[in-house]
Amino acid sequence: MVRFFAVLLLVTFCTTANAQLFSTKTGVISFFSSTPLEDIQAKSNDVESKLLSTTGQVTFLMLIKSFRFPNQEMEEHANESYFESDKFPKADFKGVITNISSINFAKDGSYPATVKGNLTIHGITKELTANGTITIKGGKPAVKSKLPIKVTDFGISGKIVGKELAHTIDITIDCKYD
Amino acid sequence: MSKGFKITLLVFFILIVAGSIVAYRMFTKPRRDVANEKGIVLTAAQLVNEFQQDETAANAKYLDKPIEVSGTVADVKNNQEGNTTLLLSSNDAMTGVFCTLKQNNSSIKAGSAVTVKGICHGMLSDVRIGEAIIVP
Repeated sequence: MVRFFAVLLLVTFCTTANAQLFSTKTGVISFFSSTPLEDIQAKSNDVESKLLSTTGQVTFLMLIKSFRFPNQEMEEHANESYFESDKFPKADFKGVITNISSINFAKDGSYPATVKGNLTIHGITKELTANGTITIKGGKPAVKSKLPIKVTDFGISGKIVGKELAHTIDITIDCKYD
Repeated sequence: MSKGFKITLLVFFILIVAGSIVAYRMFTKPRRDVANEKGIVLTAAQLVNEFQQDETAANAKYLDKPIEVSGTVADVKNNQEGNTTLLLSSNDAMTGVFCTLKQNNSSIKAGSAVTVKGICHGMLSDVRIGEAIIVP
């Protein structure tokens, strides 16, 4: 009997522990830059993200080459001139949702979330805090956030900044987890 | 109208036309299509193995290049936009080649042997191939 309960406890523990790590390989990250000269936007559907509901740890990892631009010229130019994606193929964010305790993963709804962590783009890492929402539906979370970043903070500089590329670009995150 | 003014006007006109043509060609530069490119032929297992051995060297060799990769489909899914994604098995059960297809394909099932041609974006948990098409 004791053994039976021990097994039951173990099984329960393992299944709940499993259900707390959410992940996706096909999250969406896009960016938008606007200057009087031109608007630049790009989107990737290939973002890997993990979210641990117990601790609030969250990671996003993407390949710059997976950004799709509205036209070929813009895509090649962005990869060569400011992302230098041959040299810096990846961008990532590792952080913690600071108000994780106020998010009830068992109850459907939309919860405001604040995340603090380190963003690496173009080989340069910066600490930042961002706001967003976590929506729980049927026990599965989805994360949405929009954060402005200064391109010069990430070593993207030169004549293009302020002309064709804005000083501050908006990064939008939209990830649905399994 | 003086002759000088006429020439200036003509030069100015030519410059505008030439500029417009260059701008037009830049904005209508055709989207890259792997169907028109010759891919580097290899198996999913070989590709994953090369990235695992030396990611920097593999990036230099394959990043942004058309790759024609063959393997066994381990998983078929849709991404958030509804595009079909295929995971091709490698020799390592933890990783594979993750392909996002340009056109949805519902005929491919887990276990099928396929050849996929697409552009290599690098490696996350899996080697990523985008803008991919099925090679018949």
